[in-house]
Amino acid sequence: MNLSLDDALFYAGIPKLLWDEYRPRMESLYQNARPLLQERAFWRVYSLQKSPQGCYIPDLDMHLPGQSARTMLEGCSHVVILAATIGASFDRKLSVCQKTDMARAVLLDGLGSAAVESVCDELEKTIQQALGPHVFLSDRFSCGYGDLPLSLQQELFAKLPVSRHTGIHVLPSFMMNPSKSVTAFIGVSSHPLPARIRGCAFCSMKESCRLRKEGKSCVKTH
Amino acid sequence: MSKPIDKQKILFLDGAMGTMLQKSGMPAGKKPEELNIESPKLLESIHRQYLEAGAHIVYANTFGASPLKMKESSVPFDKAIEAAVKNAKKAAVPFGGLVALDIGPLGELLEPMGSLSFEEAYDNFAAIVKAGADAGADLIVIETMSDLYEAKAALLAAKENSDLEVWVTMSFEADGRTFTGCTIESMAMTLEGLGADVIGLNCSAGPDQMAPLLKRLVQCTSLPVAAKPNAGLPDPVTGAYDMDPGQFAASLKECLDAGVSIIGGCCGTTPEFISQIHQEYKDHPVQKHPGRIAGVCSPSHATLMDSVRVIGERINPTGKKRFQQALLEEDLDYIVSVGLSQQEAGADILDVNVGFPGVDEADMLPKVVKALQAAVDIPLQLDSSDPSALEKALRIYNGKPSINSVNGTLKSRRAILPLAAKYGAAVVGLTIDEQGIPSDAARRVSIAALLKESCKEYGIPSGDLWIDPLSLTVSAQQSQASASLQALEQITRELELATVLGVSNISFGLPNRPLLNQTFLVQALQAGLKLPIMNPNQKEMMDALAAFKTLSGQDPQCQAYVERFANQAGAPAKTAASQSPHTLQEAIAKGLKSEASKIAAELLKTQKELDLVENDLIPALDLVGQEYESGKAFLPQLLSAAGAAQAVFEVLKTSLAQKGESKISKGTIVMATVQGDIHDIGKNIVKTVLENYGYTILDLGKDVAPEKIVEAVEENQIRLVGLSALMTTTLPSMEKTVRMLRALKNPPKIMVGGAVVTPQYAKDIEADYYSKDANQGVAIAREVFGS
Repeated sequence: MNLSLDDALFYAGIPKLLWDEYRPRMESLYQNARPLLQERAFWRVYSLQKSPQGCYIPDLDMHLPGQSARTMLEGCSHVVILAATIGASFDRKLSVCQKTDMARAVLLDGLGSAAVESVCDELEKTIQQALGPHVFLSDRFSCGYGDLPLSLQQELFAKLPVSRHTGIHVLPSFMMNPSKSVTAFIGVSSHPLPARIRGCAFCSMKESCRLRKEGKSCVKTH
Repeated sequence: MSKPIDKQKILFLDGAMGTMLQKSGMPAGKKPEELNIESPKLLESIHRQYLEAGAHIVYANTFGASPLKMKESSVPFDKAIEAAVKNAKKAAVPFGGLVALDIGPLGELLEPMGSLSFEEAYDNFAAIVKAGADAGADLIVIETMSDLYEAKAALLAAKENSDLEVWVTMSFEADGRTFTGCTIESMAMTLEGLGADVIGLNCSAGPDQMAPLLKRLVQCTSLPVAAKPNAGLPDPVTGAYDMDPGQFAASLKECLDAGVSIIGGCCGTTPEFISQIHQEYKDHPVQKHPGRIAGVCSPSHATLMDSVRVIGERINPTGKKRFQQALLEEDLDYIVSVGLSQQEAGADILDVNVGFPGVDEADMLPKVVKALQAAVDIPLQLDSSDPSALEKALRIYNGKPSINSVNGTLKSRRAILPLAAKYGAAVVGLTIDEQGIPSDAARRVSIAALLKESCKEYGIPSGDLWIDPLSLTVSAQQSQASASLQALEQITRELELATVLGVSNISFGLPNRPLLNQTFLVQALQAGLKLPIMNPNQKEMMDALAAFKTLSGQDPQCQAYVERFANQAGAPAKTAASQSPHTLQEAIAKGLKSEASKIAAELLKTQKELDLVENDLIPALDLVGQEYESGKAFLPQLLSAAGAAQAVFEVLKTSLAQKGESKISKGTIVMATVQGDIHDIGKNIVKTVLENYGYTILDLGKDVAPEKIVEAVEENQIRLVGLSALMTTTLPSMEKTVRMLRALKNPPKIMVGGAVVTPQYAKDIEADYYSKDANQGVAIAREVFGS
């Protein structure tokens, strides 16, 4: 896994001025947690249609309603649906750590977030490789981004064998278990696509995001 | 009991059902089980195609027909099962084929990962089993399980609610683990112990990837082994699987040669695949394979009897005031911490004893087992003389445990051995009979022989009987040490049984106990002791064991020995507390755990516990808290200080318990992450800090129903409640909880927080306080409790 320790420190909420102090600790935590990381990924490609509500995947009879999906998938003929996780053993470790050493648990939590991001990044490379060099991929975006409803998560799990291939479950609250899991969409086009992730102003979580409360953003700017 | 299925020849199962239904045009998201009633002819025809291809057994279309999965369907689960078995029977009877009730996972995660309890899972499976047996299924197949706990719930439900054969197949990833971390060895030990008739693997991989795992599985079990792999791996672009029937059949040969004797196909396979394997392997001989492996396990960790294994003895209230207090207060976190520290020190099994006056063992033992198995990885030994407590704990244990203990009396054998047999547990046999503990070795050996014979009668393999020839205090009966050792040696050599021995009692009443214990341990190991029961946190004992393993060739290349001692030479001598360069306040503020607890222990010689809290602990935390507020310190520093304060608190609690004085508590706060929400790190941060200020936290955990919170508040007359929520989707349950709490006659104050909660929202739902972080939580608690 090509994990960035700086990402891990960032997700753990460590202020940048302490990164040098905390990096060795994060590194040793990573080496320790490595055997627990069970990376699993799933992806499928579907053809895409425009619809009055937004976008439509005929094979799944699935609508991606709203302006966000329409913008993100502008000029795309297909869409990739992906899911990735670092598995249940990590969650178990994280919950034990919260009982024994809370300071360490906060670092471990950040490490898990960075690890699943890294799995997604790797997966994106695999997808690009599988689809060939003449295909262009859009930015990755998830349910809850902009006006793409979070509730779409439920439909995605009902119509695709995500749980069987990755062990990820979705709860009635649309949270995923294991907690360090991601589902996302990526547009596929025969033309180059502009970067469209617009940061907080565009996100439906902006009122309640922890990172934003701390004056940060999940769009990597560090 | 129904007639056993003949397994002398290779048995053929069917291929995929989902693949066939999709080919027939079933839309994505449709519940396949609804088709049992809507399109019976389609189902019948798919089954018939598989039977024509050579399948002896077809799986009825009941994989997802559970009360849970079909709660929103127009078709009740039992009607779907009844129709499924009927459709399959209609096809199978003309071929002389058998119909399996197919049981898949419930689709919800079991505790502790998820919120479905073991008991709820059992009830779901029991309902499925009853419906399937009533409908006339010939056998039960539990398949595609990735959680051993869920597989156990299903297997128990199948065995207790029908007399049909029960087969269990699980899904493993190429790395040899399931999604939940279960290993092949743990699967084999647990399921064979619980009485499965066949075990095996299905789904997740093609036969080529499955082959090495199947080879491992046949080495671990005496049961017939089944394989139902996928048709290779799916192409993410087309969704098609990458093996054709010829490749699929060729790859299965390796599995059959290794001893697999029941084969079929999972995702992507069709009647052509079954036809191909049937043609190629119908006359293939069934290969014999070795029997079961001796040992015990948790899902992720198998402790095998191939080397000396340490049983940690510390989870036991005898003579431990702090532990007794924790038991009486149901402080499960403390008990878990004792388990974790023994695991850390090198224990291979943890003995769990909660017998103490005032404790209802039948209630407490399962609770403690659930808490321990959520945190420690090594297997547990259930230690109780109360058969009902043992049975409750055996039922909910995730893996294969051991029981401590049975003895030679008829009463004990009749009470304990049926439990060990039913739940597939190993059992410690004490060499005591109606006459008490024999003073000579010969009688101990004969009681061991009697126990071996009794186990055989109950169907318990001899590898699962561990004999304890009992060690007595040498200061009282000096000749007894050699009698124990002699018995140990004979039981090992003549009866070929593994032995257990508590090695700490021997020195009772004598000076320099560690030296006697250490020497006795080495003597016992030399006589053949396999399972010393001891304190793994005593360094001298673990050192002696490491040395013994090295000298007896049980530590290849002396690797473990070198690792253990290489870093010890030249290590700086520990600073004595009196020479510490820090004050207690400084040590806490800097997060120096062990230094802080040493200074605290030293200060306790002249100061009272409460004074240390007020004069040192809280000021130190306040200081870090202020720095955090002003942006000079950050969350990790705040939490490091909290960690050190926690360590100091543990020193104070132990000291108070020893004096029999009541604990320090400024007030009790109920804390919970609201229903639907499973991320509780934020709540746990606040909890850690509040505890260190002397508040008692009643932590209800995550995903907590409003009713449960209200109940806890009423029962304990709580004055302050802390609620946390992370997702917008779970805010309504926070609102509901607040509403219900405010409707109480004497409503508590409520503070709310968490990623999605804002001060405005807190006001809107009429919570009393919005707490942005742990520090503010402390300020609120001070206001509510006035200190």
